[in-house]
Amino acid sequence: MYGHPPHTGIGSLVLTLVASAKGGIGFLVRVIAHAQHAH
Amino acid sequence: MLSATVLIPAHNEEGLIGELVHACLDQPYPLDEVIVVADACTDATAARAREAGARVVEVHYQDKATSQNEVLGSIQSDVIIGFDGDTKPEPDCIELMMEDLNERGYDATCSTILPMQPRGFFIRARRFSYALGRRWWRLCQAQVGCIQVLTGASYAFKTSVIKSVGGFPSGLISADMDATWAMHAAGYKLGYTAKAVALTVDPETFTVWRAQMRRWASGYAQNMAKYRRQILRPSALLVVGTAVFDLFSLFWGYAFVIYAIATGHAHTLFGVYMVFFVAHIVLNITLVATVVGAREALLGFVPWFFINFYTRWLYIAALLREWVLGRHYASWTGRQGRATVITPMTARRKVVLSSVAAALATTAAIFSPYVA
Repeated sequence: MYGHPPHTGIGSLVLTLVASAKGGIGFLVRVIAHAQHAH
Repeated sequence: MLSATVLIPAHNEEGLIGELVHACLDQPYPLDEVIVVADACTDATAARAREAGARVVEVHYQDKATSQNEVLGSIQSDVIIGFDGDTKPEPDCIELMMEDLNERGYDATCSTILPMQPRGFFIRARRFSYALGRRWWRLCQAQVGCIQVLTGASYAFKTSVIKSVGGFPSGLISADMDATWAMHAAGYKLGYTAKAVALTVDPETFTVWRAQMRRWASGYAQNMAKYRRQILRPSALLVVGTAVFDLFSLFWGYAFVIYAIATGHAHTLFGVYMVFFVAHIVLNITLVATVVGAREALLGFVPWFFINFYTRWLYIAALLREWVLGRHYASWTGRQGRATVITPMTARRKVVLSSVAAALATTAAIFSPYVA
Protein backbone atom coordinates (compact mmCIF):
# COMPACT_ATOMS: atom_id res chain seq x y z
CA MET A 1 0.00 0.00 0.00
CA TYR A 2 1.28 3.46 0.87
CA GLY A 3 -0.57 4.64 -2.25
CA HIS A 4 0.89 2.29 -4.80
CA PRO A 5 -0.09 -1.24 -5.87
CA PRO A 6 0.70 -4.06 -3.44
CA HIS A 7 4.15 -5.45 -4.09
CA THR A 8 3.40 -9.14 -3.68
CA GLY A 9 4.16 -11.89 -6.16
CA ILE A 10 6.91 -12.78 -8.57
CA GLY A 11 7.62 -9.09 -9.20
CA SER A 12 8.38 -8.53 -5.52
CA LEU A 13 10.82 -11.43 -5.59
CA VAL A 14 12.59 -9.97 -8.63
CA LEU A 15 12.82 -6.61 -6.85
CA THR A 16 14.20 -8.38 -3.76
CA LEU A 17 16.84 -10.20 -5.80
CA VAL A 18 18.05 -6.98 -7.41
CA ALA A 19 18.03 -5.12 -4.06
CA SER A 20 19.97 -7.99 -2.50
CA ALA A 21 22.49 -8.01 -5.34
CA LYS A 22 22.97 -4.30 -4.76
CA GLY A 23 22.94 -4.38 -0.98
CA GLY A 24 24.70 -7.68 -0.40
CA ILE A 25 24.23 -10.13 2.45
CA GLY A 26 23.89 -7.29 4.96
CA PHE A 27 20.72 -6.11 3.27
CA LEU A 28 19.09 -9.54 3.43
CA VAL A 29 20.07 -9.90 7.08
CA ARG A 30 18.48 -6.53 7.87
CA VAL A 31 15.30 -7.51 6.06
CA ILE A 32 14.84 -11.01 7.41
CA ALA A 33 16.75 -11.43 10.65
CA HIS A 34 16.47 -8.15 12.56
CA ALA A 35 13.12 -8.23 14.32
CA GLN A 36 12.06 -4.66 15.03
CA HIS A 37 8.84 -4.73 17.01
CA ALA A 38 6.86 -1.56 16.53
CA HIS A 39 4.55 -2.37 19.39
CA MET B 1 22.60 19.46 13.42
CA LEU B 2 19.71 20.37 11.13
CA SER B 3 16.91 22.51 12.58
CA ALA B 4 13.33 21.34 12.13
CA THR B 5 9.77 22.66 12.06
CA VAL B 6 6.68 20.47 12.18
CA LEU B 7 3.98 21.27 9.62
CA ILE B 8 0.51 19.78 10.10
CA PRO B 9 -2.21 20.35 7.50
CA ALA B 10 -5.56 19.63 9.10
CA HIS B 11 -9.21 19.63 8.13
CA ASN B 12 -11.74 19.11 10.92
CA GLU B 13 -9.42 17.14 13.19
CA GLU B 14 -10.49 18.54 16.58
CA GLY B 15 -10.53 15.07 18.10
CA LEU B 16 -6.87 14.26 17.48
CA ILE B 17 -5.05 17.50 16.74
CA GLY B 18 -4.24 18.38 20.36
CA GLU B 19 -2.77 14.95 21.01
CA LEU B 20 -0.72 15.20 17.80
CA VAL B 21 0.72 18.61 18.70
CA HIS B 22 1.64 17.35 22.18
CA ALA B 23 3.23 14.22 20.66
CA CYS B 24 5.40 16.46 18.46
CA LEU B 25 6.39 18.85 21.26
CA ASP B 26 7.28 15.91 23.51
CA GLN B 27 9.76 14.44 20.99
CA PRO B 28 13.39 14.56 22.15
CA TYR B 29 14.58 16.26 18.94
CA PRO B 30 14.50 20.07 19.39
CA LEU B 31 11.91 21.77 17.18
CA ASP B 32 11.80 25.40 16.07
CA GLU B 33 8.00 25.33 16.10
CA VAL B 34 4.89 23.32 15.34
CA ILE B 35 2.61 24.88 12.73
CA VAL B 36 -0.95 23.70 12.17
CA VAL B 37 -2.61 24.85 8.96
CA ALA B 38 -6.32 24.56 9.66
CA ASP B 39 -7.91 24.33 6.22
CA ALA B 40 -11.63 25.10 5.89
CA CYS B 41 -12.29 23.75 9.36
CA THR B 42 -15.84 23.96 10.69
CA ASP B 43 -14.95 22.54 14.10
CA ALA B 44 -12.55 23.47 16.91
CA THR B 45 -9.36 22.22 15.20
CA ALA B 46 -7.67 25.65 15.34
CA ALA B 47 -8.58 26.23 19.00
CA ARG B 48 -7.45 22.74 20.09
CA ALA B 49 -4.14 23.18 18.23
CA ARG B 50 -3.47 26.59 19.83
CA GLU B 51 -4.25 25.24 23.28
CA ALA B 52 -1.73 22.45 22.70
CA GLY B 53 1.01 24.93 21.81
CA ALA B 54 1.04 25.15 18.02
CA ARG B 55 1.14 28.22 15.82
CA VAL B 56 -2.09 28.07 13.85
CA VAL B 57 -2.72 29.44 10.39
CA GLU B 58 -6.33 29.31 9.21
CA VAL B 59 -6.99 29.03 5.46
CA HIS B 60 -9.92 28.10 3.22
CA TYR B 61 -8.41 26.26 0.26
CA GLN B 62 -9.79 22.75 0.84
CA ASP B 63 -6.51 21.54 -0.63
CA LYS B 64 -3.69 19.99 1.36
CA ALA B 65 -0.81 21.06 -0.89
CA THR B 66 -2.00 24.65 -1.25
CA SER B 67 -2.52 24.99 2.49
CA GLN B 68 1.01 23.72 3.15
CA ASN B 69 2.43 26.11 0.55
CA GLU B 70 0.70 28.96 2.39
CA VAL B 71 3.28 28.70 5.20
CA LEU B 72 6.20 27.17 3.29
CA GLY B 73 7.77 30.55 2.53
CA SER B 74 7.80 31.53 6.20
CA ILE B 75 9.62 28.39 7.39
CA GLN B 76 13.30 29.09 8.06
CA SER B 77 14.25 25.70 9.53
CA ASP B 78 16.46 23.32 7.55
CA VAL B 79 13.85 20.56 7.60
CA ILE B 80 10.07 20.33 7.46
CA ILE B 81 8.58 17.41 9.35
CA GLY B 82 5.05 16.74 8.14
CA PHE B 83 2.24 14.83 9.76
CA ASP B 84 -1.36 14.45 8.69
CA GLY B 85 -3.87 15.83 11.18
CA ASP B 86 -5.06 12.32 12.02
CA THR B 87 -1.58 10.88 12.59
CA LYS B 88 0.46 10.54 15.77
CA PRO B 89 4.23 9.93 15.84
CA GLU B 90 5.79 7.45 18.22
CA PRO B 91 8.13 9.14 20.76
CA ASP B 92 11.32 8.69 18.70
CA CYS B 93 9.80 9.15 15.23
CA ILE B 94 11.19 12.63 14.51
CA GLU B 95 14.59 11.84 16.01
CA LEU B 96 15.00 8.76 13.81
CA MET B 97 13.98 10.57 10.62
CA MET B 98 16.30 13.48 11.47
CA GLU B 99 19.11 11.01 12.15
CA ASP B 100 18.83 9.79 8.57
CA LEU B 101 18.88 13.34 7.24
CA ASN B 102 21.74 14.39 9.50
CA GLU B 103 23.96 11.32 9.16
CA ARG B 104 23.02 9.43 5.99
CA GLY B 105 22.75 12.44 3.75
CA TYR B 106 19.13 11.94 2.73
CA ASP B 107 17.37 14.96 1.27
CA ALA B 108 14.00 13.53 2.25
CA THR B 109 12.65 10.52 4.05
CA CYS B 110 9.47 9.20 5.62
CA SER B 111 8.55 6.92 8.48
CA THR B 112 6.68 3.66 8.69
CA ILE B 113 2.94 4.03 9.09
CA LEU B 114 0.70 1.70 11.08
CA PRO B 115 -3.02 1.93 11.83
CA MET B 116 -3.96 3.67 15.07
CA GLN B 117 -7.10 1.59 15.62
CA PRO B 118 -6.52 -1.79 17.26
CA ARG B 119 -8.98 -4.02 15.39
CA GLY B 120 -11.40 -4.37 12.50
CA PHE B 121 -11.38 -6.23 9.19
CA PHE B 122 -10.01 -3.35 7.10
CA ILE B 123 -7.70 -2.18 9.90
CA ARG B 124 -6.05 -5.60 10.25
CA ALA B 125 -5.67 -5.92 6.49
CA ARG B 126 -4.04 -2.48 6.35
CA ARG B 127 -1.76 -3.24 9.31
CA PHE B 128 -0.57 -6.41 7.55
CA SER B 129 0.06 -4.48 4.35
CA TYR B 130 1.93 -1.62 6.05
CA ALA B 131 4.03 -4.05 8.09
CA LEU B 132 4.91 -6.06 5.00
CA GLY B 133 6.00 -2.88 3.28
CA ARG B 134 8.07 -1.88 6.31
CA ARG B 135 9.88 -5.19 6.44
CA TRP B 136 10.12 -6.01 2.75
CA TRP B 137 9.36 -4.07 -0.37
CA ARG B 138 9.83 -0.51 0.88
CA LEU B 139 13.32 -1.50 2.05
CA CYS B 140 13.92 -2.94 -1.41
CA GLN B 141 12.67 0.21 -3.11
CA ALA B 142 14.96 2.35 -0.94
CA GLN B 143 17.87 -0.04 -1.55
CA VAL B 144 17.62 0.31 -5.34
CA GLY B 145 17.21 4.09 -4.97
CA CYS B 146 13.59 4.51 -5.95
CA ILE B 147 11.14 4.72 -3.08
CA GLN B 148 7.75 4.98 -4.77
CA VAL B 149 6.14 7.33 -2.30
CA LEU B 150 7.28 9.29 0.73
CA THR B 151 4.06 9.08 2.66
CA GLY B 152 2.45 12.44 3.29
CA ALA B 153 1.19 11.19 6.64
CA SER B 154 4.68 11.25 8.18
CA TYR B 155 7.71 12.66 6.33
CA ALA B 156 10.84 14.80 6.69
CA PHE B 157 11.88 16.98 3.73
CA LYS B 158 14.77 19.40 3.63
CA THR B 159 13.09 22.78 3.25
CA SER B 160 15.39 23.82 0.41
CA VAL B 161 14.54 20.62 -1.46
CA ILE B 162 10.77 21.00 -1.37
CA LYS B 163 11.14 24.69 -2.23
CA SER B 164 13.40 23.85 -5.17
CA VAL B 165 10.73 21.65 -6.78
CA GLY B 166 8.21 24.45 -6.56
CA GLY B 167 6.72 23.67 -3.16
CA PHE B 168 4.15 21.02 -2.36
CA PRO B 169 2.64 20.08 -5.73
CA SER B 170 -1.11 20.31 -6.24
CA GLY B 171 -3.22 19.31 -9.18
CA LEU B 172 -2.95 15.54 -8.92
CA ILE B 173 -5.10 13.51 -6.57
CA SER B 174 -2.14 11.95 -4.74
CA ALA B 175 0.04 14.88 -3.65
CA ASP B 176 2.64 12.98 -1.63
CA MET B 177 3.52 10.75 -4.59
CA ASP B 178 3.69 13.85 -6.78
CA ALA B 179 6.18 15.46 -4.39
CA THR B 180 8.20 12.23 -4.21
CA TRP B 181 8.58 11.92 -7.97
CA ALA B 182 9.30 15.64 -8.38
CA MET B 183 12.23 15.12 -6.00
CA HIS B 184 13.32 11.97 -7.88
CA ALA B 185 13.22 13.96 -11.12
CA ALA B 186 15.37 16.68 -9.56
CA GLY B 187 17.97 14.07 -8.56
CA TYR B 188 17.64 14.24 -4.78
CA LYS B 189 18.52 11.38 -2.46
CA LEU B 190 15.36 9.93 -0.96
CA GLY B 191 15.35 7.35 1.81
CA TYR B 192 13.05 5.42 4.07
CA THR B 193 13.40 5.47 7.85
CA ALA B 194 11.84 2.10 8.58
CA LYS B 195 12.38 2.18 12.36
CA ALA B 196 10.51 5.47 12.76
CA VAL B 197 6.80 4.81 13.28
CA ALA B 198 3.72 6.98 13.18
CA LEU B 199 0.20 5.77 13.84
CA THR B 200 -2.59 6.99 11.61
CA VAL B 201 -6.35 6.69 11.45
CA ASP B 202 -7.27 4.24 8.72
CA PRO B 203 -10.67 3.53 7.15
CA GLU B 204 -12.86 1.21 9.18
CA THR B 205 -15.79 0.73 6.81
CA PHE B 206 -15.96 -0.60 3.27
CA THR B 207 -17.38 2.65 1.88
CA VAL B 208 -14.60 4.83 3.27
CA TRP B 209 -11.91 2.25 2.50
CA ARG B 210 -13.08 1.96 -1.11
CA ALA B 211 -13.16 5.74 -1.56
CA GLN B 212 -9.60 6.00 -0.24
CA MET B 213 -8.35 3.12 -2.40
CA ARG B 214 -9.93 4.58 -5.54
CA ARG B 215 -8.23 7.89 -4.79
CA TRP B 216 -4.88 6.23 -4.19
CA ALA B 217 -5.18 4.08 -7.31
CA SER B 218 -6.18 7.06 -9.44
CA GLY B 219 -3.38 9.14 -7.93
CA TYR B 220 -0.90 6.39 -8.80
CA ALA B 221 -2.10 6.34 -12.42
CA GLN B 222 -1.96 10.14 -12.63
CA ASN B 223 1.56 10.29 -11.21
CA MET B 224 2.90 7.53 -13.41
CA ALA B 225 1.52 9.42 -16.42
CA LYS B 226 3.01 12.73 -15.27
CA TYR B 227 6.43 11.24 -14.53
CA ARG B 228 6.53 8.70 -17.39
CA ARG B 229 9.98 9.88 -18.48
CA GLN B 230 11.32 9.22 -14.97
CA ILE B 231 9.99 5.65 -15.10
CA LEU B 232 12.45 4.93 -17.91
CA ARG B 233 15.35 5.15 -15.44
CA PRO B 234 16.52 1.59 -14.63
CA SER B 235 15.74 1.72 -10.90
CA ALA B 236 12.31 3.28 -11.50
CA LEU B 237 11.56 0.82 -14.27
CA LEU B 238 12.43 -2.02 -11.91
CA VAL B 239 10.27 -0.74 -9.05
CA VAL B 240 7.26 0.36 -11.07
CA GLY B 241 7.55 -2.51 -13.55
CA THR B 242 7.58 -5.21 -10.88
CA ALA B 243 4.65 -3.56 -9.05
CA VAL B 244 2.57 -3.39 -12.24
CA PHE B 245 3.57 -6.97 -13.12
CA ASP B 246 2.39 -8.14 -9.69
CA LEU B 247 -0.78 -6.12 -10.16
CA PHE B 248 -1.83 -8.09 -13.23
CA SER B 249 -0.14 -11.43 -12.53
CA LEU B 250 -2.28 -12.22 -9.49
CA PHE B 251 -5.29 -12.81 -11.72
CA TRP B 252 -3.30 -14.89 -14.25
CA GLY B 253 -1.95 -16.98 -11.38
CA TYR B 254 -5.34 -17.82 -9.93
CA ALA B 255 -6.83 -18.36 -13.38
CA PHE B 256 -4.10 -20.97 -13.91
CA VAL B 257 -4.86 -22.61 -10.55
CA ILE B 258 -8.57 -22.86 -11.42
CA TYR B 259 -7.70 -24.24 -14.87
CA ALA B 260 -5.31 -26.83 -13.42
CA ILE B 261 -7.81 -27.99 -10.80
CA ALA B 262 -10.76 -28.03 -13.25
CA THR B 263 -8.99 -29.92 -16.04
CA GLY B 264 -6.42 -31.98 -14.14
CA HIS B 265 -3.75 -30.75 -16.58
CA ALA B 266 -0.38 -29.14 -15.93
CA HIS B 267 0.46 -31.24 -12.83
CA THR B 268 4.13 -30.29 -12.65
CA LEU B 269 3.59 -26.57 -13.19
CA PHE B 270 0.72 -26.63 -10.70
CA GLY B 271 2.99 -28.29 -8.12
CA VAL B 272 5.72 -25.70 -8.64
CA TYR B 273 3.16 -22.91 -8.37
CA MET B 274 1.72 -24.27 -5.14
CA VAL B 275 5.20 -24.56 -3.56
CA PHE B 276 5.86 -20.94 -4.52
CA PHE B 277 2.42 -19.92 -3.23
CA VAL B 278 2.87 -21.58 0.19
CA ALA B 279 6.44 -20.30 0.56
CA HIS B 280 5.24 -16.81 -0.26
CA ILE B 281 2.50 -16.97 2.39
CA VAL B 282 4.90 -18.26 5.06
CA LEU B 283 7.45 -15.56 4.18
CA ASN B 284 4.81 -12.81 4.27
CA ILE B 285 3.42 -13.84 7.65
CA THR B 286 6.89 -14.27 9.13
CA LEU B 287 8.06 -10.84 7.99
CA VAL B 288 4.89 -9.15 9.22
CA ALA B 289 5.20 -10.94 12.57
CA THR B 290 8.61 -9.33 13.10
CA VAL B 291 6.91 -5.92 12.96
CA VAL B 292 3.54 -6.32 14.68
CA GLY B 293 3.86 -9.69 16.41
CA ALA B 294 2.68 -13.19 15.47
CA ARG B 295 -0.91 -12.71 16.64
CA GLU B 296 -1.56 -9.61 14.53
CA ALA B 297 0.25 -11.20 11.58
CA LEU B 298 -1.98 -14.28 11.72
CA LEU B 299 -5.17 -12.26 12.31
CA GLY B 300 -4.29 -9.87 9.52
CA PHE B 301 -3.36 -12.38 6.86
CA VAL B 302 -6.85 -13.50 5.85
CA PRO B 303 -8.35 -9.97 5.54
CA TRP B 304 -5.24 -8.83 3.65
CA PHE B 305 -5.31 -11.87 1.34
CA PHE B 306 -8.91 -11.34 0.26
CA ILE B 307 -8.78 -7.54 0.11
CA ASN B 308 -5.74 -7.87 -2.14
CA PHE B 309 -7.93 -9.10 -4.99
CA TYR B 310 -10.26 -6.12 -4.82
CA THR B 311 -7.41 -3.68 -4.25
CA ARG B 312 -5.70 -4.87 -7.41
CA TRP B 313 -8.91 -4.67 -9.37
CA LEU B 314 -9.34 -1.05 -8.20
CA TYR B 315 -5.81 -0.26 -9.39
CA ILE B 316 -6.37 -1.92 -12.77
CA ALA B 317 -9.72 -0.12 -13.18
CA ALA B 318 -8.07 3.20 -12.26
CA LEU B 319 -5.21 2.66 -14.73
CA LEU B 320 -7.69 1.92 -17.54
CA ARG B 321 -9.95 4.86 -16.63
CA GLU B 322 -7.11 7.36 -16.26
CA TRP B 323 -4.87 6.22 -19.12
CA VAL B 324 -7.30 4.84 -21.71
CA LEU B 325 -10.59 6.62 -21.10
CA GLY B 326 -8.90 9.85 -19.97
CA ARG B 327 -11.41 10.24 -17.16
CA HIS B 328 -9.58 11.69 -14.19
CA TYR B 329 -10.38 11.35 -10.53
CA ALA B 330 -10.56 14.94 -9.35
CA SER B 331 -12.10 14.97 -5.88
CA TRP B 332 -10.48 14.61 -2.48
CA THR B 333 -12.37 11.94 -0.63
CA GLY B 334 -11.85 9.81 2.42
CA ARG B 335 -13.00 9.96 6.00
CA GLN B 336 -14.38 13.48 5.47
CA GLY B 337 -17.07 12.02 3.25
CA ARG B 338 -16.72 14.41 0.31
CA ALA B 339 -18.31 13.32 -2.96
CA THR B 340 -16.26 11.60 -5.63
CA VAL B 341 -15.81 13.63 -8.81
CA ILE B 342 -14.53 12.02 -12.02
CA THR B 343 -14.05 14.21 -15.08
CA PRO B 344 -15.97 13.25 -18.26
CA MET B 345 -14.24 11.87 -21.35
CA THR B 346 -13.25 14.60 -23.82
CA ALA B 347 -14.97 14.74 -27.22
CA ARG B 348 -11.63 14.18 -28.96
CA ARG B 349 -10.93 11.03 -26.96
CA LYS B 350 -14.44 9.75 -27.68
CA VAL B 351 -13.77 10.15 -31.41
CA VAL B 352 -10.36 8.46 -31.17
CA LEU B 353 -11.59 5.52 -29.09
CA SER B 354 -14.69 5.08 -31.27
CA SER B 355 -12.48 5.09 -34.37
CA VAL B 356 -10.14 2.50 -32.86
CA ALA B 357 -13.10 0.31 -31.88
CA ALA B 358 -14.61 0.62 -35.36
CA ALA B 359 -11.27 -0.23 -36.99
CA LEU B 360 -10.84 -3.30 -34.78
CA ALA B 361 -14.41 -4.47 -35.49
CA THR B 362 -13.95 -3.99 -39.23
CA THR B 363 -10.63 -5.86 -39.20
CA ALA B 364 -12.20 -8.72 -37.28
CA ALA B 365 -15.13 -8.89 -39.71
CA ILE B 366 -12.79 -8.98 -42.74
CA PHE B 367 -10.43 -11.62 -41.41
CA SER B 368 -12.81 -13.86 -39.44
CA PRO B 369 -13.84 -15.97 -42.51
CA TYR B 370 -10.17 -16.79 -43.18
CA VAL B 371 -9.51 -17.67 -39.55
CA ALA B 372 -12.54 -19.97 -39.45
